[in-house]
Amino acid sequence: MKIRHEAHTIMSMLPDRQRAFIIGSPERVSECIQALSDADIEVWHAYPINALATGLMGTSNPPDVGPAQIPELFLNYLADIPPGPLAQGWRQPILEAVKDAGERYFNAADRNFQLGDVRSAAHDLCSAVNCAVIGQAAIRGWPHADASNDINTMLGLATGILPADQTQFRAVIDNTAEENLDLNSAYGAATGILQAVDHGYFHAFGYTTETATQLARHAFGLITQTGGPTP
Amino acid sequence: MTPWDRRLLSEEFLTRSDAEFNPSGNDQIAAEILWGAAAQLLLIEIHREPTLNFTDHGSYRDAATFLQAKSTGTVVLTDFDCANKLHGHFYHGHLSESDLRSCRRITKRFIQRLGTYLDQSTEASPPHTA
Repeated sequence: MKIRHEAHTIMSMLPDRQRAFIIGSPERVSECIQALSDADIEVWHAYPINALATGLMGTSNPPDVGPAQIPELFLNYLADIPPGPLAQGWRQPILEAVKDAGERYFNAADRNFQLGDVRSAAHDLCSAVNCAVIGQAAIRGWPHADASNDINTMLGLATGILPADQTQFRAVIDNTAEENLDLNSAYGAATGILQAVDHGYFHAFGYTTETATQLARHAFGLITQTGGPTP
Repeated sequence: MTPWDRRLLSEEFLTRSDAEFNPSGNDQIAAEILWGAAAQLLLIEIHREPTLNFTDHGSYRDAATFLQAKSTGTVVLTDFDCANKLHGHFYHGHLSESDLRSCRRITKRFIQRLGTYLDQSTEASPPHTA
């Protein structure tokens, strides 16, 4: 099973979080991800973070968890419930891991800018922003497998309505009040950095190392601070 | 062109862009015309503000940065960057349908807010009639 690298980075940072103790070590995360190859991919492929429990239970040595240790996420899996919102106890570790992962990418971007590798730096900046989006999607039980999921997540965060299809996306975005578009604006601007690099107009459009970093950090901050009701 | 000429042209581009953004239209052309509607308003500010100077495409971003500060955040720089993505789409056609739709909506917000801001300026208001 191919998992986008940002989700992999977030998952690999979970064991550092006290309340994610059940996973164990970073090596254990790798084992879980490997085990996902044999898991029910049809059900979980769009939900890599939510699928972590699936992989964990699929390892050769699944955790011997007592009722008090079993987060809702595991109960859902064990009860064969389709992907849904992460249990309350798992949200904070996920969001903390997202911040760690984001900082890792921002640091990588700084290094790559210093080396003059603008393309890699732009990828790092967008990966940081993607981490924020992925985390928000995961805790809500929304798909977070690719960029199309991400843009739906952003609209869902801004409006409370996760578009089910393209027709619904059009209707929601066209009817969203102006004051609710800040998240979409920040995300759109941040993803534009990478598009500008990939298509060769980064400098021509007036981007600099500093402005690109500011845009990505602005988007990351807005998205990670997004509260609102979660299911 | 006077500031008012540019206001009228911006409105015309906005209308033409809406007409082009339909299933039988060309979304790259539509995107460029909508970018043009935003650019016309930015040019008003560039030409009247002594600290701004039009040298290349990056001058638009300088103007948007200036306007965000001057308007105390009413004119949003990230909205401008979404408008800029539409200009890139004209050349490269790289935006997904959702991204394009989102940028279009945000660019309209940018134009609306910038227009409101310019309305406070006599230079961008209709010329007085005798």
